[in-house]
Amino acid sequence: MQHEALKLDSDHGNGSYGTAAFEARPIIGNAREKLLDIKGIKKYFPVKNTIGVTKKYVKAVDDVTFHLYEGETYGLVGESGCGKSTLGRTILRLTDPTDGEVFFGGTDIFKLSNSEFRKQRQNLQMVFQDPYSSLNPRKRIGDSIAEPMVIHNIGTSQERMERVFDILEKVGLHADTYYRFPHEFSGGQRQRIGLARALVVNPKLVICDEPVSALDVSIQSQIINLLEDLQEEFGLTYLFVAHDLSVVRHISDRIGVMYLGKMVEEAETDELFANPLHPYTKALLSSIPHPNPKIKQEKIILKGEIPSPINPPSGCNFHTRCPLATDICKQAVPKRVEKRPGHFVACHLAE
Amino acid sequence: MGDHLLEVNNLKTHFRTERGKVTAVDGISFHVDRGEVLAIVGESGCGKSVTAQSILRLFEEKGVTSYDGEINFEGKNLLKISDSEMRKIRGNDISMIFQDPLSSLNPVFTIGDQIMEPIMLHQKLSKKEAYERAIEMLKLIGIPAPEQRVHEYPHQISGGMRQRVMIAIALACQPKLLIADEPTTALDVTIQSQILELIDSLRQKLDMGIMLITHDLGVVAQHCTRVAVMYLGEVVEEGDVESLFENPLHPYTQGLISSIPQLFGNRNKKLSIIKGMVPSLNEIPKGCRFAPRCPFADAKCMNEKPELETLDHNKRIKCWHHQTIKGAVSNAT
Amino acid sequence: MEVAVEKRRELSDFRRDINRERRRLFVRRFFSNKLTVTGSVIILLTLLVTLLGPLLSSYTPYEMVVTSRLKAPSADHLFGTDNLGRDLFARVVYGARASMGVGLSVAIITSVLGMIIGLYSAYYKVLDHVLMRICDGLMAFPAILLAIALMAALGTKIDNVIIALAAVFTPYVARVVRSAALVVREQTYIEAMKAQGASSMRIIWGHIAPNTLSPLIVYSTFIFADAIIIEAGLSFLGVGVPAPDPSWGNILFDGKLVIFNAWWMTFFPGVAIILSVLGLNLFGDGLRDLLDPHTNHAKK
Repeated sequence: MQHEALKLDSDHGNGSYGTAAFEARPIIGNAREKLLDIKGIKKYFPVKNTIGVTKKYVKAVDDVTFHLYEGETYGLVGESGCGKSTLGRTILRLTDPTDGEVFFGGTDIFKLSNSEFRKQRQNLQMVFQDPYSSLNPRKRIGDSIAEPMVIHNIGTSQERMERVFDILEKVGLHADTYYRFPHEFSGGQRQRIGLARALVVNPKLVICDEPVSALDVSIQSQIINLLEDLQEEFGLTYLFVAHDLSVVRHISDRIGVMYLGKMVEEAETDELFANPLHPYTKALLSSIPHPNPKIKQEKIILKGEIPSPINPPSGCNFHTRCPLATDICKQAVPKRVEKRPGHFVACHLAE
Repeated sequence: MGDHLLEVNNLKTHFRTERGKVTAVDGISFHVDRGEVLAIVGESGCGKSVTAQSILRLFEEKGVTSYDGEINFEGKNLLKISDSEMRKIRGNDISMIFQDPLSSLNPVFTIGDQIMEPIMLHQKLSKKEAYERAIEMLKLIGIPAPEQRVHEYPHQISGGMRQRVMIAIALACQPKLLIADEPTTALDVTIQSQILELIDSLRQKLDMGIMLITHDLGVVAQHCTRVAVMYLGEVVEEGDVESLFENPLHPYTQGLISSIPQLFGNRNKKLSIIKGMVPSLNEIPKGCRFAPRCPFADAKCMNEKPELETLDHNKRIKCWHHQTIKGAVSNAT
Repeated sequence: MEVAVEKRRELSDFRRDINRERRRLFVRRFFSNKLTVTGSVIILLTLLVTLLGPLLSSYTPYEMVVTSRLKAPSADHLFGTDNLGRDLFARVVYGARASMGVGLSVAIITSVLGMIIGLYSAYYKVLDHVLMRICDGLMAFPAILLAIALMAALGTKIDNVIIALAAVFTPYVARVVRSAALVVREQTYIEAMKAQGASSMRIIWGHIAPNTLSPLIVYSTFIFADAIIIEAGLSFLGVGVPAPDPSWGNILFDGKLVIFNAWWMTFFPGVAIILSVLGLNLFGDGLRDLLDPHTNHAKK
């Protein structure tokens, strides 16, 4: 099948694919099949004191549960240090998970051995935030993009080259990119290259870790449109990690909001923006400056700073900054409750 | 004329590089008044940070940097005065806040020391008076327990706190003009809104002029009074915030505004884009600099340079076709 | 099908052009840098003399003529003769073989060993602790003392000089490679390769190693120069290249005894050492500028 997928369809000749090349995958609306089911995922980083004894942990991701439907875009938002990037990296086992289960195609990928999981990696790809450090400066772009196929033993070198030319065209880059080096490209072009490298092995899921936050506004919209086009063409599922709510709103079908390692709210995009239930989500939404000077916003200015994840506050960890906090918030950890269909929130006070 | 706090006339900043002379800022003019916030907007490489640093003459390397034009600050041309006079103005009359709060603070000195330094340097106050002033500044910017904080080092406080300290340092001598170069870009939104509110209230209290450099149009819309849009070293459009957002005339401004994803309204619409990317300063287009990326460009745009025209309501625009384009856009939307 | 062939031909033309352009740019940058040009001219001359030595001199370095001892430089003996009546020019030229040979071999051996040690200790934490403590131990001795001790243990022989100097300098090279590799290891493209399931072998040799090459090459030119100096020092002290084979160091030793009546015996080998070391250091400094990515603005 893999070889099949790589063959250049000679009838077209100009480098486009036959329909067999990519398996058609159900897009939203069809059977809402879970592609990735994440249950109770935890990632604690040990903090060593001066003599090297571990006593404390940074709870970067603390008991997060959610799932991704096939073909959808799931936006993960939160401020820096809330654990959203760590969550993405933990799912891909770039850092060893502390606890939890992640089901992909019926198997718990956290239970697979390293060599078994290596075979799954081509289905689970990642696009990184920093377009400047995500490409090896000493490798030609073509070699960088072809490398995932080399690692997974796909095709002959000739087939790989054809495939790279093809994918370059798909992400909107000229064929001569193949022979150039990363320093010759701007941030936006490098992000296209990063995307090409992720898509070259026909993945099912792409984790996009802040893929546009390092880019200029006009380039950002080009990349967002490209992400959407590619999703439609290849039936991709995205886990879109970002801090920019307007971007996340634009691209996501569902959104999860994280605060200090926990997921505080999850809902479909329109529902979340229309009826935010968690006070943190409300504050977050109100503090984005609106690009229309006529609309004067009523801001909920949160007091204080994000607490350290080494010693997170007791009970609901948002209570130190929450304008509504009561005694129960300081004592009990709120449970994740489905308040409306598909709208989950972890707050004692949400109605 | 002449009663503006800061008036920049036809400023050009040149750098000599390995591949010849490059003009990063090419003939820009604008002014800032007391109590107002001028936003300088543009993408990376448009010369907005170079403009800010030129005002304080932060590029001083002889033979590498050269300036043309005038920068009038309270009647003095900053490009003509001596280095020692310039040093008296820096940090005293004109202050600057930088983007990265961690690398702009010296890690080996306490926060107090760093706030006191400009006060002692410029206002010739004693150490004790400067210390009291530092505490006062920390209170002003809303840092709890300032008596303890003055003795802490930059690494002991969070990013938002550091940016507050940078603001305290910048405001310690009660400057008349504050230049803020992307002051909140490195911060989270909830912290960003705290900082911007703070700058806003301090502006009213101290009656400063502020030059805010940013790429975030939301920040511009909510916190500024006037805007200058820069593209490739030139100001392409300038005007009041409201008229600029409501009725952008330059195709670049239009492109910028319509390419940001919306927080309200239909989200399933494709984002409009500005095609291509900003050319390098070595390959500046011959005619209008935006022409190669402009959807309205014709032969005239490609070959002839437009001038910055002044329209009514202090609006200025650099485009051959702004009148026809205006119609085209209002029809399209 | 025709179209594809056409396209490929176009691209291979493009590839050729781009490579040519890249070479042209490098050559231009190389020649615009005075340090590298001066350094490489000196080194090339020294190497030329080393290789062509026998053709340049009508004397051999071993032939003793008792009647013409300590003759001042003349047309017959360009550099004069030494205390045993040997032609000094021939001895300095042949001595270059020992000095440059030792320098080059040491530079190559330490680069290879240092790279392996540096890369693996940067990648594996446990290995790092072990290897770097060994390096620290070796680096605690002054280079020349360690070299003397090793030579005393191994016996005076030119091969042993190389072994001793390689042992002395490898820890320094390993340190340089390790610190470069530690920076590279944290780059996102390494994480991207891990996310693809690349083996450690591929990451270390395919991705980290090429990015540590430029500091390594620069540093190895300095090692080359240092090795020449230490070799001269060892030979001067009598634990380096054994007599009667000439080396700049042992010519200096012979000259030391007659320094007041035969200046040429210390002057010429001294100048040879200075020139070759200076040439290498200039070349290294220039190379550092040339390979530094911050000054490397390739044309778009």
